[in-house]
Amino acid sequence: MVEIVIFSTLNGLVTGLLLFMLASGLTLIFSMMGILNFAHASFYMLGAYFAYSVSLFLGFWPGLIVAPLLVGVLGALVERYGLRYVHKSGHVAELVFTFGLAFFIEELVQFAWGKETKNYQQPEILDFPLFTLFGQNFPAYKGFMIFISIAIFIGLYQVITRTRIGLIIQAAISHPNAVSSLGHNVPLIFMGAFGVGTALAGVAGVIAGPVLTTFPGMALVLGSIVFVIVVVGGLGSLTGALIASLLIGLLQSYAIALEFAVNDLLALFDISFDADHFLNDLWTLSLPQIAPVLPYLLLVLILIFRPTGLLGKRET
Amino acid sequence: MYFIKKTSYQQDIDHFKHNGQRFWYGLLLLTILLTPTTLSDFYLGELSFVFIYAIVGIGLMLLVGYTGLVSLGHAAFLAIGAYTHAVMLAAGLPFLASILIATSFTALVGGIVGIPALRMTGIYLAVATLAFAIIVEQIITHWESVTGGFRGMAVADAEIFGVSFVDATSYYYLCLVILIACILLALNLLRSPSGRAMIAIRDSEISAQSMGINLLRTKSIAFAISAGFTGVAGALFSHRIGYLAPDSFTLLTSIQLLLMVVVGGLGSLQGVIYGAIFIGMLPQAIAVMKDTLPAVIGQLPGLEPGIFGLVLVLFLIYEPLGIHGRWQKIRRYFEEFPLYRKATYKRQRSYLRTERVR
Repeated sequence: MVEIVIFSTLNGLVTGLLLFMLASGLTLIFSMMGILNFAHASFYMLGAYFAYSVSLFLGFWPGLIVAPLLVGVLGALVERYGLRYVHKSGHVAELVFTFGLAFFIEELVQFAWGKETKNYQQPEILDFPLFTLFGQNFPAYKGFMIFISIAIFIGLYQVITRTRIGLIIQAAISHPNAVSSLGHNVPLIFMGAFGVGTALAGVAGVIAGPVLTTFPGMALVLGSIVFVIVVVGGLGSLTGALIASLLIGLLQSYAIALEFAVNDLLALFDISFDADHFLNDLWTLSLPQIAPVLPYLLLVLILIFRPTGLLGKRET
Repeated sequence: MYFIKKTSYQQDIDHFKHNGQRFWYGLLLLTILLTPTTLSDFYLGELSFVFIYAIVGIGLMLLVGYTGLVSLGHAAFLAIGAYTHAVMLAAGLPFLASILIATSFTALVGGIVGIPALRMTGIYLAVATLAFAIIVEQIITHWESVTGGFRGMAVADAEIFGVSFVDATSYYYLCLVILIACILLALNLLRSPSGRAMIAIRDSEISAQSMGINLLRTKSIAFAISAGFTGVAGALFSHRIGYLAPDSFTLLTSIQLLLMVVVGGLGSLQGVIYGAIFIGMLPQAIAVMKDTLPAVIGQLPGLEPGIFGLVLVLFLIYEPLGIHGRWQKIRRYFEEFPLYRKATYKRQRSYLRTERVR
């Protein structure tokens, strides 16, 4: 039992922090700037593929620097020549636009790199067990992921709350007109922030690529879950996003580890159903089976009981 | 420009503004009625798909375009309608009773989903309906004794009072009749107090509330009606595809539906029809293009969603008002021929806008 708890916690932590890496960029774009970007996971995929290509020639580490930069520039261009015009026509248009973009990027990726899974490997220098518990190794690469993710959190938090640039960004988001009349180039600030957000998605892609396999469907797998994280965490809150991603990571890893069904829960209260009752299939679902839905159930509960999210201050 | 002199109230609330409209819509109806005599079964099938999409579109337009609530979960309502209908038919109910039950059940679910929607606006609502769609999809996948799970379930043939609607022509007419009924229903709804209340909520919640409109009730009704339309369409859809499986109702379907109303033009029923034609015909157009393109490009995997995405992106950048908006601009250009000003549509209110640009 202790073994299960420790390993589920560790796995949950790793998944959660990986999700946070992805969600941190979206926090900047979606929850602070208020731009719905459904293509965020596509930028993450682009990051992984760029890094893979770079790693073929130069190795893993240059890819960690080059790929996010490329993705960031691409993101900034998308903002400058696309989203900026679409934003005027509202949420729905933005959503549909970024969805179209997500499809288009997926198609481009298949065009450029093909449909099959890429053999993108973690660097050899990190290919050793960090420590061994109950006879199972904890790979050093996962430790590296945890480190990077926490570094991103601290760095981004400091930049947003402590530096001049961060303050200008915060001001530009809530009062664009006032900030622009103080002489700051607001559209440029937005373009920059969007670029940084997508670059962070790129970083997540570079790091997650070797672990979660690099294939054209990787964006779809995480596309909607990052939205759940940002909304559960609360719009405009980086700490909220961190807590939410850890929560969802732990929730999923525990759900996979524990074999419970609704039946077992009801049996505790002496309620039982016939095996041929028409709802029987739903009662006998086990936790691992419903693990993919759990984040969405969490989202629904949060929206009903605390519409602003865990740490959110404002609505919409 | 043509000005109409209105002499009675009846004329003011008439669906057709003048005889010219009566003539053109009549001609359109005649063309549609005569279409089966000239087209092959395959294209008739595609046209019935367009009609079904248009019915969903009307429902979604009432919600997104007229009440201002965004839904990313309409594939779920479509699925609920389709599965309820299929299950009822399998239980031995006649077609008409089954489609009524499917519609009312979907509307009921829609109304219940709409209640928490009162507390959510904009982005939150979009994400919440997305979650709803994913949960419904999972339930359908796992509830094997009723829905068949991944194996899917066969749908019984449509039959009303002994008349079978299996072949393409009769099914085309069935969809057409239901579509026209839905259009009339929507048109009448939009000039009734409930419809006016929805539009008022879209334009400003605060002023609507201060005029005495019950927000919870109206939003919930809007969701229920929208889901109801989608439920009818779901029932028709189930016959059209013949075999239901969870992968017909994914997030992609929801987006396609939303895309339909956006591309058609938010806030107009004509837009729905344009959007449905666009969505229904685009795969065919791409398929035709594929054959003419060189093999290197034509045989690419996933070409369809890619082009789909590209068309969408270009549309939203260059014509955010949709096909209907573009058509109005073209008309206006000729109506006011030498005097047309581009700025006419610049200052038009755009609904559902975010905070950033005020």
